[in-house]
Amino acid sequence: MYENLFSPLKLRDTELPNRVGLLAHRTNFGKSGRITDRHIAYYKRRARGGCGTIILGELSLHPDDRPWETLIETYHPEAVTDFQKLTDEIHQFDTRIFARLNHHGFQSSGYVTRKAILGPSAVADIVFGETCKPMEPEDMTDILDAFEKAAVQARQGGFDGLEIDMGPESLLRQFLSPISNHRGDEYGGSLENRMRFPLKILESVRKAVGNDYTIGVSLCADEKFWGGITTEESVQMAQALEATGGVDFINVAVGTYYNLHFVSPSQFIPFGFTVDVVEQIKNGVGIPVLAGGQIGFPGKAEQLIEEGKADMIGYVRALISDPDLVKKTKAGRPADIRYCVKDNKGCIGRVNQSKALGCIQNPKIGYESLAGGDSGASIHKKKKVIVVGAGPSGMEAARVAHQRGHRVTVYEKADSVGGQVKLICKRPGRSAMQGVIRYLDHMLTEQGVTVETGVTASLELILDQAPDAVVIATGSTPILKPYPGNYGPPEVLSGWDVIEGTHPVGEKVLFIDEDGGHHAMATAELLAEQGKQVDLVTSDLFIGIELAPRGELYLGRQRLLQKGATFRTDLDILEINTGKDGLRVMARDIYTNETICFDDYDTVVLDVENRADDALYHKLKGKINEVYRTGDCVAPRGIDMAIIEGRQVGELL
Amino acid sequence: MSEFKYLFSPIKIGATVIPNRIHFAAHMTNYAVDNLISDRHIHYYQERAKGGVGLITTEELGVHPTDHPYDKLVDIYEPEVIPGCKKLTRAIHEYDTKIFAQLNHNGMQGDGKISRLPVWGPSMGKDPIFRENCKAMELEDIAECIQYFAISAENAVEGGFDGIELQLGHSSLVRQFLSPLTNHRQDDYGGSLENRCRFALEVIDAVRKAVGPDFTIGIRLNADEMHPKGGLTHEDAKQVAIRLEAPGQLDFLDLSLGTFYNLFLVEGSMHTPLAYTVPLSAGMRSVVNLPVFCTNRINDPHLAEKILENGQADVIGMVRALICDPELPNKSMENRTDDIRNCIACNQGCIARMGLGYRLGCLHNPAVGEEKDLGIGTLSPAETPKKVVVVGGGPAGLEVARVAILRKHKVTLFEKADDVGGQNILAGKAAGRQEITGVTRWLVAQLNKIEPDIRLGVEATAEMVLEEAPDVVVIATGSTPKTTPFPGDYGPPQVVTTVQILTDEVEAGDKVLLIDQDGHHQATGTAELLADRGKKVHMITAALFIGAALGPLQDLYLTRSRLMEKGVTFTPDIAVLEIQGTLVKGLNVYSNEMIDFEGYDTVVLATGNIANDNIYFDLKGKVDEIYRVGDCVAPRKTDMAIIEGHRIGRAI
Repeated sequence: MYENLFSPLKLRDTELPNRVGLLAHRTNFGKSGRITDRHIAYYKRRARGGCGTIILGELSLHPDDRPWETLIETYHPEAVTDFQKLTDEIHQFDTRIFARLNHHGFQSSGYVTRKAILGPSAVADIVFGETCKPMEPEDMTDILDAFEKAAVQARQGGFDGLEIDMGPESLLRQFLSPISNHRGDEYGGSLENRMRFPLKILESVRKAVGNDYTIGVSLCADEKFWGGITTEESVQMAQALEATGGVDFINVAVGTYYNLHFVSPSQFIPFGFTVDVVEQIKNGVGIPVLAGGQIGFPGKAEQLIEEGKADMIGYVRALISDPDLVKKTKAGRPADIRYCVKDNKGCIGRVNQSKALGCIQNPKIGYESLAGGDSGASIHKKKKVIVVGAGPSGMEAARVAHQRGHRVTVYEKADSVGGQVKLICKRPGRSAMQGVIRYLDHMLTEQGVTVETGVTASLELILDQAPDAVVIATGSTPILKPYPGNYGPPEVLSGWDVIEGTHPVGEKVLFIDEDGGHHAMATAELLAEQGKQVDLVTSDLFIGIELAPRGELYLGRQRLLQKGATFRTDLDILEINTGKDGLRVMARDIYTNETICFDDYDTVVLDVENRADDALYHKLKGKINEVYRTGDCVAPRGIDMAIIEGRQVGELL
Repeated sequence: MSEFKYLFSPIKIGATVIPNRIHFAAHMTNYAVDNLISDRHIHYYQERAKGGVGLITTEELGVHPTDHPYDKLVDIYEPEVIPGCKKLTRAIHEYDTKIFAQLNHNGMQGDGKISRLPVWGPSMGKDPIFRENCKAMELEDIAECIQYFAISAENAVEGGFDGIELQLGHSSLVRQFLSPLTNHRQDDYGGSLENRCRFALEVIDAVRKAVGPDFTIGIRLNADEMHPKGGLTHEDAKQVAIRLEAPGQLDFLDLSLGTFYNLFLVEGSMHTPLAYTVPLSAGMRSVVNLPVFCTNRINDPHLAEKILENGQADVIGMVRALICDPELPNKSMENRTDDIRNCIACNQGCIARMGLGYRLGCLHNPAVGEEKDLGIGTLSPAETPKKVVVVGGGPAGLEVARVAILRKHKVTLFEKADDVGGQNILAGKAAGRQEITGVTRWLVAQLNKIEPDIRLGVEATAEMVLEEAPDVVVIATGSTPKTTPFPGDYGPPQVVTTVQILTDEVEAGDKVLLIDQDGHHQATGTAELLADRGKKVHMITAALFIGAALGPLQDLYLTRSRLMEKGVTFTPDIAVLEIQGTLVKGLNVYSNEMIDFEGYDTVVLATGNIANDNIYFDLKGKVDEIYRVGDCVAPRKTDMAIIEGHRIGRAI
């Protein structure tokens, strides 16, 4: 099994133990321009899990390049010492570690540096929105120099090799791409000219580190945008890179900031969407080629290598979600892997909001132990633990408590486990979310935890068992009447009613979206797919406000609009009534104070807010020594907090 | 003798004598490092002490681990904070200035993204900004929170502060308990006013017990939530104040207003009137005996003096005014009020940067946050006075000239227009934006004192510059709007730039289409100007909404409101593909539907600028020392123009 994935690969003088790499990505763990222990513990955990190669990103090689604060400065006086500390830790395992050298060019702003940003030509990036200074020859010299110095620092700091970034977020791509390079000099125009600066960088980096050192390139092989880099050109770029004799591998990337949904693909982008691009590059060059961007399951990875479409596989989110993916694959236990569900909320969503990297499924991200070891301290006493509620929070609490040696029984009132995640999976395009439950259910079954479904745990039932500890994880339910008025089913339904199909929905639907994310939008999409006219209204400035940081806004809005849904923003709902005048919704325009009446709808759907189901908790409180609450029954939030709190209690018991 | 007899009279607040009535009130800085007071903090606050302020209140200091709405919050409940506090208070006490610590828990006005804990609130619900449901506090949570307030107060005393201000204002857990908007509890802490005040009284009591009777404690109370759906009115707030004063544990009453629902009132921009909260402080002063502090848009000592003289407040809070000019108190005291760099309430350098998670700055004052290197007394004369030619008299060029002259260089400035100010003057022509020209007013006033050689109406060429035989040339020629940003056959007078409208070069027809790729005041301010002139204006943008850059400035709500009330209409999500005559061909970026915008008399472009860098490239290599500053490097905002001007003024 997986003999290709677990065969070594030689890149110049570096032997990779297997074909799986953790690609460069943001963590926001950096502080004051330096690598932190958080970084080290995080990467070390992935090395421990059997990852063959790690590529460290987030490096800033020039003080004027600082799109965000948490970058690691390669020019910091302590940089080499810090690098050495990290690489020494990684080298305790059979893992290689590379440093990715990048300059972000105009994909940045002067907010941190208070300096002008640089680019090939005077354009403003679509995300940062700041116009850059077109680089003068002395700027090029300065950056060339910075790349050289950073390369030397990295080698001195014990890295096994380098990756020069010409990918979606790089100055060098900006030079390569006709979208951003409008120069009239020898650095713009023809492909040869656009490659001139990137090749110069490569040449000087190679010269700086010598011939006995591995250097790869991350190449944006298809910008998938009008007028941008196509594979036709990128194959020629790859060939030119290979022809220098100085490039040892090519890491193929797709997309730019114009289409962030490719750079950070969600559930709505298919697995393997980069493969045809990778294959074209692979066919064009003789050096090893790395495929990344949603490769998914190890079987798929194995297949790509076996079929000769790629030589290496790059993962990011898969290894965030489960650092032991490689180890578990090698051991023939693929079902034990906690697969990434591509929700993007815990990782990309947090990082884009300048928060430390996280994961909705893996609460340990950024909290790994530097010494090693995953679950809490060993237990003093084996306790009898009752968990009420088998949503993600209760299941995680049960999993961890059982693993630590407690005797755990889970009660779930529904006929199957999963809680609200079961509803989430029923929405169009969101079925991958069932992965959250699959993993937890699988682990509970494997461990032999007693899960009693179809049982509503009453106070008496719990007290009769005389448990040492009770964990309440009873979740939340939608508020039925968030607004004044006289209304209810069947005319006015909650988003849950729609998914569960409790009542028929009319042809013309007014959808009140105070969620701003998939809960509302995907439910609305479900109705639109059934051929209904769906008009979404919100008090927000736009529909989909929660999706923006996850790179899902564009496709989310596009799907709805293309299915005929309409959006109306800025509305504060005042009152709903279903009297003899029919169904009426009164609203106020927040900006003009104008009152608006919606009176020609068959059904109103509310996706407004949930309330914690905390009645059982309050009944039990004081009657049992140890009673805990986790997840939505504390305060309705997301899966991330449900699992974090489940884990915290599981480790505390 | 100062002309401001009230402003510079001392006042006793509890145990503390404050030398004058100017208060640098609490505000975020994002200067904390590792959740501790940083050296940057110390230099920043000390600069204001040096400038003569009577009282400083620190930024909010967090009292409990459940409160971490942003990364750079100082956690005062941790004993590790004390050494930094000591260093700070000692630095302030080198001057005749007192410093209070503000203690706060933001309650449900936060999220668990950093703390990984549920946020606390009186009742379930979510804040409109953070959008996270809070945990309704259990009785033990309330007790724990009160205990943490007390621990934090003890740390503040040990840290050498002269007093404590408890935050009960716009962003605070205590306000959430006081307000019927957020407190729906049915126990002793909710319902009647008496019950809603209980938590506040318990916090005050615990803090008083922790610090003893001889330490100054006050509160910053929300004087009016001004919420459209109820909440604390000014009359309610007066009743709260009376109840909180009654036990005799408080020494002063500082005020705030608004909530996160209406932040435009909390952080009023130039579109809100000066001193707009004075009626609130006057109202409070009529019902309590405590000294009352008034804050918000009081940016000038004359105004402050008048408020004191009228008996509308006892102490005047100034935040942005002292960010912009730390020396406002001393300049006022010395009757040098024309030297004051008045805050223009643009909110770009301060509030917007806070909202976006960056360090506090100021559009007008490049030294903010960099006081150690750029603060009072750091400007020293150049070793060799040089002959400097500056081309361009916008904010960047004027700042270069000002700094260079102060450093004893000989400066000649060429400006092609008949007056200086550049785009800053244009910006002031948009509706409601006049105050922004305060940037030019101050720079010109300062330059007039040092008699620069300014040559107006002269468009400098490379030859002219070289004829001056300068040692140094600084190019600050700004930028001009793109006139053909899209393909097609079009141009003036039908298709014009915002600048052509603002300068009255072209008069718009009755029906106007404004293409907004700006998202800032240039687009909305021009649209409003046209609407004010009776034009029917429709705005299109590729962004998700009109005013995309105004949110962090706290100008979004009022701007959209004004525009819509003046009949301006919006279509977002539109990318313009081409223009033919006045026909604008657009594409909905989501649905990919093609949409024609036709029947307009005038199309106005707010579509970005191009750097005017010709003279720079003409001169580059022909003079030894040549620099570029501001928009002619890359078109950005005024803050960068002034920062770069200042940097070069010091470097030459």
